[in-house]
Amino acid sequence: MANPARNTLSWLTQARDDVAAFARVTDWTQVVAILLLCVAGYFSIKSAGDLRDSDFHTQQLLYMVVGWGAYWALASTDYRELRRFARWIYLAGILLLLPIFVCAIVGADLGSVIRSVYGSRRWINLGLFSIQPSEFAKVTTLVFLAAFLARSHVGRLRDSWGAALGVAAIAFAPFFLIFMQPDLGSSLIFVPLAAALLHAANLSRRFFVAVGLASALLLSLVAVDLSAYADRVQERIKAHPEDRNPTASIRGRHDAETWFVLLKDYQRERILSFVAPELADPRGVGASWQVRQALIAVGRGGLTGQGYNEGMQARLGFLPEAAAHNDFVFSGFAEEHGLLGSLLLVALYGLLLWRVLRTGLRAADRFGSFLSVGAAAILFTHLFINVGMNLNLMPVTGVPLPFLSYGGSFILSCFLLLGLVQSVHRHAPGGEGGGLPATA
Amino acid sequence: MSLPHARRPRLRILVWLVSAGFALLLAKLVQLHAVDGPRLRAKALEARSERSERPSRRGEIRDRQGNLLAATDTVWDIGLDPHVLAPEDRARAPEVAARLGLPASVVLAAFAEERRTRLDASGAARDVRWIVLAKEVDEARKREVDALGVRGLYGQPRFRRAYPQGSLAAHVLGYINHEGIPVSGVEKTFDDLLRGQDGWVESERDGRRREIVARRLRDVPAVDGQSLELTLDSVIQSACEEALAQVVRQHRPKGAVAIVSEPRTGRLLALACWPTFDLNRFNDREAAPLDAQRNRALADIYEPGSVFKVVSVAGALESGLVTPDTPLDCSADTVPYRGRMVAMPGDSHRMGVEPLRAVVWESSNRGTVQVAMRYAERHGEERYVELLRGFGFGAETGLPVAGGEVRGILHAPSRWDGLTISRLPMGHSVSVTPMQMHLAMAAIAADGLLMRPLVVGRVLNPDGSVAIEYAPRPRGRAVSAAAARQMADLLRGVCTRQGTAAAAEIPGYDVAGKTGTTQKLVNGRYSSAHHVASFSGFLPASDPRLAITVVVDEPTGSGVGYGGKVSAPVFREIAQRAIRRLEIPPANPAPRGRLVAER
Repeated sequence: MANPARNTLSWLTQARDDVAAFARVTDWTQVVAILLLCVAGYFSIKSAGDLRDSDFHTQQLLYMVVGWGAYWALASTDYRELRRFARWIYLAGILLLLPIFVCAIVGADLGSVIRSVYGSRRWINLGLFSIQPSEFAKVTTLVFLAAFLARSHVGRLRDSWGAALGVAAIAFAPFFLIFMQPDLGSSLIFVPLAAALLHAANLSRRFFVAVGLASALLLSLVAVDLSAYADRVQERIKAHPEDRNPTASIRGRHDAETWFVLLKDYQRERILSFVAPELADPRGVGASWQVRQALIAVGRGGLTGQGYNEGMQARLGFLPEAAAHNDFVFSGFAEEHGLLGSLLLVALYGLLLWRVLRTGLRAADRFGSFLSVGAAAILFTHLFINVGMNLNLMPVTGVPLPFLSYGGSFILSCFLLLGLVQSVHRHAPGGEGGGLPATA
Repeated sequence: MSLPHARRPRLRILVWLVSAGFALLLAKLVQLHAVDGPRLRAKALEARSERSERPSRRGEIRDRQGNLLAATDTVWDIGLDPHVLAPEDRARAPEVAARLGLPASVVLAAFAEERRTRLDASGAARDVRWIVLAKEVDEARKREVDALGVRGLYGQPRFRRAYPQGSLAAHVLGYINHEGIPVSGVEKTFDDLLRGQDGWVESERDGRRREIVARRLRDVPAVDGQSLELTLDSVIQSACEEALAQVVRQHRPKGAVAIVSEPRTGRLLALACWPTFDLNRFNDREAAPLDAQRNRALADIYEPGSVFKVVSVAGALESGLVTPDTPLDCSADTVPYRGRMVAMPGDSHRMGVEPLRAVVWESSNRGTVQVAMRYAERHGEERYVELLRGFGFGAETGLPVAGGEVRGILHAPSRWDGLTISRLPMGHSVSVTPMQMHLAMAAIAADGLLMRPLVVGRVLNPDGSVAIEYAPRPRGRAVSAAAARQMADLLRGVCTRQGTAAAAEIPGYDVAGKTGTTQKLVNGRYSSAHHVASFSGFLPASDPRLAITVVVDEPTGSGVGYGGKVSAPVFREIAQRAIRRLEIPPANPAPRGRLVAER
């Protein structure tokens, strides 16, 4: 007859052993890096909105708590289980994008559920909270791409066309749906993601040369489009030299008159303001305002920064209020913590990425390896584009900074990504799963 | 271990790519800090710092009784921020219009939805945050508008200089132009005291250019200006202005001046010029032409004529060369002077050998010139000119009223010609301002002391305490007290029936004074049609409390042109009202009888 007390004790002992085993195979470096990034994010958002009594930071704290829950839940499951449901996961991501896509195509709002904000529809408002399906689509697409590649034969180009086309098709669906929202920045994430996975899958170099040439062609198309646009801006400036913001004045008109609908005028504006700011925004009050203010913030930081809660560019609204706590949170951080703080922050991302890639190298199987490489690609793309636009290295696209930028869907998707990576790490050879093929 | 699924070299390439990305970011970070940092920091500060003025309130100007002559009001520009206006308040436009005294259509138009934005030069829409409805609305009306409780309806305060008495003492007060720069009068002379000290706020502003009060660095409050208490008396001032208006109606002159002061203290009681203007409409070229704004008492010169004789006679009395009884031959056509014969000017009527007394009463040119000649022969021509300078001629009077004051023309003997000694004593070949002549006559009244003219009695701090008190101060002695009294005694007779200014006689008061009639130089010749008629005098002669000068430029009409006919009645009119105002008791009217008896 079992003694209940004794049973409880043995259960407790067992639980303690399980937790110890779990802890032993966890990559704590990643956990600590993420935690530090979250802390930096929370306080940066708080400081940016402080003088406006915004409560973005408290909301973000809530998202972080939920995110950590999701992280540990994913980390404790065996990622290999996901392979079987990969296509359903992918389909769910696509399904979430569809209603927005339909609204965008029709050009109509769906009550207060899907509404156009600044001319683009990105969120589904569920009353209590909103979700941004494009963020989750990054994760779901990665899972399916990794699963797809894990069972495909990739190698010499001749044998790999099927796999390459499959990857292209899988990535193109979310890319297109998001591009039409329109959300250029988020859609572009799928390009480096697919490329990184194909590369990791050992696809022939010739493929990448070919794709590189194709991209160059696309870029030159964009250049042609932009030069036509630039001519329009110049015409405008000539006709109205007193106009403070010429690109804003012709916004939309140019769209209607071009046959070549590759970009929207506001996107052209941003690219032009990156390539030739003196033309797109001669007085610095229009498209290049954000970047100018971000640069001022970074420059004002100096070596050691102005100190916490002294980042006036963000706090006083020189960095636009709508962007200071998300897309431009880095420049606010740089103003308060200076060059040393910024270097430390970037180094933290470097550490995290290194651990993620290392996990990919040591993964038990191709699926896990691809998951990690893909997660690294997504994180790095976000980091590079976001910090790059804060430093005027990249054009302004609405790409947030992982764990720092405000946004529930985005931070949750980052936690999910890294939760997967943690699971891969835990099941790597020498880890919990001992590198054995997944059972069950 | 080897990787069956993802080859190491491939991942290594990815790692290299990522590392290159990081290197790029880090390099740019370092560049921004090290190279562009200082420039960017300066930009941030420039965008944030803000300095705004806190205007000080200009001091008031009052007369000696405290009547307000110049004041600074707070007025309100009432306007509307169409973005704050609540939709339900749109219908209240007629109410607002009624309170502001505007046509309802004007306010309705401003309240219309489509006024929220406007198209700028480039055709882009811009928010409109301020539509002016009414300018310079006073405090009471502004409160009425506030009481309506229409959100978005604001008042912007500002200061406005106002002259509640309009044209009263316009030439003494002067005015402030629309740029806030003082143009004339005591407004200009005492601007440093009146203006006060503007304060300022140094602060920071946010991205929407709103001030951040929490980051205010410096807040210097404005110091309001000090107030002036003039020596002017509004009642006497308006008496002068009305009397001038009266003479203008009668004689249509080109211009006229009246000056009243206390001879013993130098305090100016009134200074009136005609034509005049409304200080509140200084900018209106119709109502206030520059000619009307000129202070004729300071900026215009004329040949003073017979009034000027007083100076020579007083000097001769002082040095004992003559007494009131000294006989002078007024019939001689030429008189020896320093070894030559000098032609005598003509007199209005032929006279024989007369005592000095009668020469003064009847204003004999020949008699006066002989008195001056005796003085110049005895003391030298230099000293004679010094005598004239001692009365303030040829120099600015020091009246602190900005108005283009001129010194007049008084030639040194080296520039005289042969006839100057026979012209100068009777007020020809010399140009003076009305104020100079007035002060010289006042010096006779003040026992020979030439007083510094005062127009500001006290300067008051904003809290009412006295900052400066201007005490009477003599500029110098013109003649001895005894000579001045003798002269005053002689001048009494002028204002009687046997004198030239019977019209200046005031029953019950012994008035001393002198008429002056000058032909004006027109095209280089003395014209018999263009005159300046003047009168300068004081009362009571035994204890002078008022000195009054009246100068009328080019009176027209029949039988005029003489100071005694045109200016003396103005003098009397002003004097009578000033006597009532100052409650000067009448004296024994005996002097007239005594003088008659003496004769």
